[in-house]
Amino acid sequence: MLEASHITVQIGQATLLSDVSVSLKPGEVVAVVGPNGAGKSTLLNVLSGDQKITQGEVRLEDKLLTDYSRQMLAKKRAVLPQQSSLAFPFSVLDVVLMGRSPHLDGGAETEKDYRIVHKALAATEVEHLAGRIYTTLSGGERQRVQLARVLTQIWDCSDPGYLLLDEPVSALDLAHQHSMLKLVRKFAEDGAGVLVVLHDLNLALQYCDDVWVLKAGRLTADGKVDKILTAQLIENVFDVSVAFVSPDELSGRRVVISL
Amino acid sequence: MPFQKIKHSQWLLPLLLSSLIATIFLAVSVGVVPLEIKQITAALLDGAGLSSSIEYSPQQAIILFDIRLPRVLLGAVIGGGLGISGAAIQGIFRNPLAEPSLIGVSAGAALAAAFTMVVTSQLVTAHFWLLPIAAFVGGGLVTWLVYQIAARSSTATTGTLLLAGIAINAMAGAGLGLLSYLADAQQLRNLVFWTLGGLDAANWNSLGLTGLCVFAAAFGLIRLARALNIFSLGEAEAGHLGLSSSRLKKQVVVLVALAVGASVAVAGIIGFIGLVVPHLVRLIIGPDHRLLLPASALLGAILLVLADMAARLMIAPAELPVGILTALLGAPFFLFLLLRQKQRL
Repeated sequence: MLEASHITVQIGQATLLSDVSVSLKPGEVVAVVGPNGAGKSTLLNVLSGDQKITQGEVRLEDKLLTDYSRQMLAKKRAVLPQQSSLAFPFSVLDVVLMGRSPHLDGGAETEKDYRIVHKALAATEVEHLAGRIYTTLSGGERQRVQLARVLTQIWDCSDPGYLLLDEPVSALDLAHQHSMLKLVRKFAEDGAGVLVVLHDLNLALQYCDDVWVLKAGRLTADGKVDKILTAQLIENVFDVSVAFVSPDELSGRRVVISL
Repeated sequence: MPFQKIKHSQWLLPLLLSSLIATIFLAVSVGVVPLEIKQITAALLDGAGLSSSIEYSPQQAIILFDIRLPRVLLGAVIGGGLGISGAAIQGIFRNPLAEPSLIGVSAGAALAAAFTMVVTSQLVTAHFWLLPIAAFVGGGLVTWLVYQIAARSSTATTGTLLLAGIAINAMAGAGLGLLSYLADAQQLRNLVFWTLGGLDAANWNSLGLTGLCVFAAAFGLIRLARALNIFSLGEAEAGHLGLSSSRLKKQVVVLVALAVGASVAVAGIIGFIGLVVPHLVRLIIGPDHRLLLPASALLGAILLVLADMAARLMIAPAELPVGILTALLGAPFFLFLLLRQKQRL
């Protein structure tokens, strides 16, 4: 379990998070939603260990995050930042292969690493781009390549691995938004704990178990996505009037629409 | 698709190495007193204790062993050091337009040497070795300063390093300007030639010392190749993959300072080798540092040996400072890269 308790993050005068307690369990997909500037990325950075915490603590499998070495952490959790830039024109295969580097321990890549990379490329539907230069790809293609890289990092984790994904579908077309979320859903079913920052509440409803709702640095609500996401809450948090509809074709699933 | 592996261009390093050896032979043979390749070979064999039947004069042997060979080899060592340093610095700044002199090591070393030249000129006349030592100290001080900035926090960004380099270069530039203002005519001439950069101070001692530093630095940098690859994903991303960015930055800064400081100590500021060479190599074999670093060392060596050969021949029997030549060729190349990069944005 990846657990943050009573997290407060202050930078200068600004309070980015105040007294947030959350936990991410293996096998579940959690959506983090909230308006721009609510602290979603900050919370993700706290859980990844990138963000200095003013108060509170983060534990991974009951051990303080700060007690892990970078190398140990890299074998257990992978992080997809919102934006990634590549400094030099590496090929797609090279980029995805870098995801395996925590497992190499200074040695060369083995057949197994290539097999995993190959599977990740296929899973994120970028296999045909393997030989292309990363910097020449479109935004959506890059996002899928980065997702492939991140997935290879915890592909064959024996203990539960954790995926922290900051807006992983922001540049993707409709079909790929769904296929990529199905893919991370499958990772969760295989035992990983997955955190996704999302803006599309319908994607959260469709693919996530739990939801954490942030507003102005505070955790406004958290729990089962079906229970938490109500018209009232969405109006309070996002200041938008919405309604839920449930067409027969969806057999009970709800869809949120703005009014 | 089967398990496609990264195709390393295996042919490149052997090709560059043999080109370097050929270039060295060529550069040793040409000059005011020409030496034939077979005479060079014979003299080298004699030197190794193996006699041969080919005739050469004692003057030719002196020119070969005391003048040309140390100079050409020094050019190879310095060119190699600048080439690999350029590749590593570009990797750590995540910017293909970065250059070793960017972190201020060249300028710091040159300032300390210039200070010694002007302020303690009598001592320098008596003890010629003061100059290289001063350059080492200057380069080392700047390294320490940059190191402190890099070590200040684990979140020291490359931007911080870049700005520190600009500030250090500005300070060193001001110091050099002040020293030229204070210098007398002879000192000013020495200063100018120092800042122009040249290999005419080559001898076996300077070659040995510089060679040791450059080889140590190159060995250390090549070991960091895979880390530099991962670093190109970004500092945060590299951290998520288990890499300590701040440690990598410190290591590269120190190793580059060692190579560049040693080079400036003996040859002054020779610019643009560190910029042009990694670019050319990347064009041929791509950005993988495991190949880029050694290939940049070899190509840097070849280019500086060739440039120095041209500098010796162009206005013979006088010599052009090789730093002028590399700047003449390198600066337009830099502008070309700038324009090209702007177009892509």
